[in-house]
Amino acid sequence: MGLLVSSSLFVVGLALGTSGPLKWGILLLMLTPVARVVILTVGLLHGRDFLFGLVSLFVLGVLLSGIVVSGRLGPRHASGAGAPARIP
Amino acid sequence: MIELSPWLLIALGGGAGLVGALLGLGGGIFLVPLLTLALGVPIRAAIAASLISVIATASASSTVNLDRGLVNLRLGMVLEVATSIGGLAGGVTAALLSPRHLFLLFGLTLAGMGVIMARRSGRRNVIADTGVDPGRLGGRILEGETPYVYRVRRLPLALGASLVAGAISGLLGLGGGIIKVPILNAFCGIPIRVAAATSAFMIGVTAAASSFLYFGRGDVAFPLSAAIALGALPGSLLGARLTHRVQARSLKVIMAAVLLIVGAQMALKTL
Repeated sequence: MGLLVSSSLFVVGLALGTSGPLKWGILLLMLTPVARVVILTVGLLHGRDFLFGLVSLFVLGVLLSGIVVSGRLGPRHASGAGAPARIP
Repeated sequence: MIELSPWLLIALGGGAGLVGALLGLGGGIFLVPLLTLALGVPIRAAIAASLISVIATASASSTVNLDRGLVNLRLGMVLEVATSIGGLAGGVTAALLSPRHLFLLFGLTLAGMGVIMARRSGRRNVIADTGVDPGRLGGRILEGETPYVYRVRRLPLALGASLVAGAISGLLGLGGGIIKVPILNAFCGIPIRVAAATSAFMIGVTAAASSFLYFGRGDVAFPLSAAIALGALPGSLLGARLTHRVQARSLKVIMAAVLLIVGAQMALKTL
């Protein structure tokens, strides 16, 4: 589902030449593995596999800390303006 | 500023996704050299685009691999603990290294892994006696119609390799499969198809950990990354479907050759 929405946003963004849909499509794509780990963790804990559930929970914690750290980083370039490749 | 056709980038993403999904690598090893060496894209933007493409490849190919029972989820999550920590560390330290160091590190890593794969391409990791207990982290697979058992050996080595793979991922825009697949297959008793499928599942998580850092720093070039990811999605679906039609030894030889060629090319660029 996430992949389908991301792909659609990419097509719209590239066709219209606007960065808004591309940015949201990329963010959604980046969040897809996070969603998979959330589902896996819930499944493991629900199935009372606590050892591997905790392992998954730890991985989820590391992923979420990455999101928090990225939010505090100052952009090297404004809004992806570091883009070296311009697509017509 | 470089003018790049979106169709070229979509085709590039498609090719990288296809071969990456076939070998469990994600495709970053092809994308970063192609974008930097052939198209002149600065390495940090190439790495960010590669990470986004790796996520697309991992997400799409895992859909196919999970259905086939090739992904060892427990092993994947255990190794992911080490990989995701390494991924964060790599993403943070990437800003401290010069492009020349990044190229050299990339080239030497690839060439080293290529030598290991070539030397061990004839070895098999499966046990024909299906009565053998695979242990908590091992498993069973079907090769054609024949069931086999595999056991995980040298888990500390696999964890160490995963930590390094995570750091390499953050530094170089790879999924980290380039480290994990050869080590898991050559030293830890995991069959190549399971190593590739489990790696493909993990690399999405690994790449996501460091991609947020690149995104936060403004290193993601949206049109470049989106066009490549758009090609990688169908390419990786095709690659994952093709993997059971190729012989295991052929997969290893292809992988060794690719690693050696690309690694040597990247390392030579720094001279």
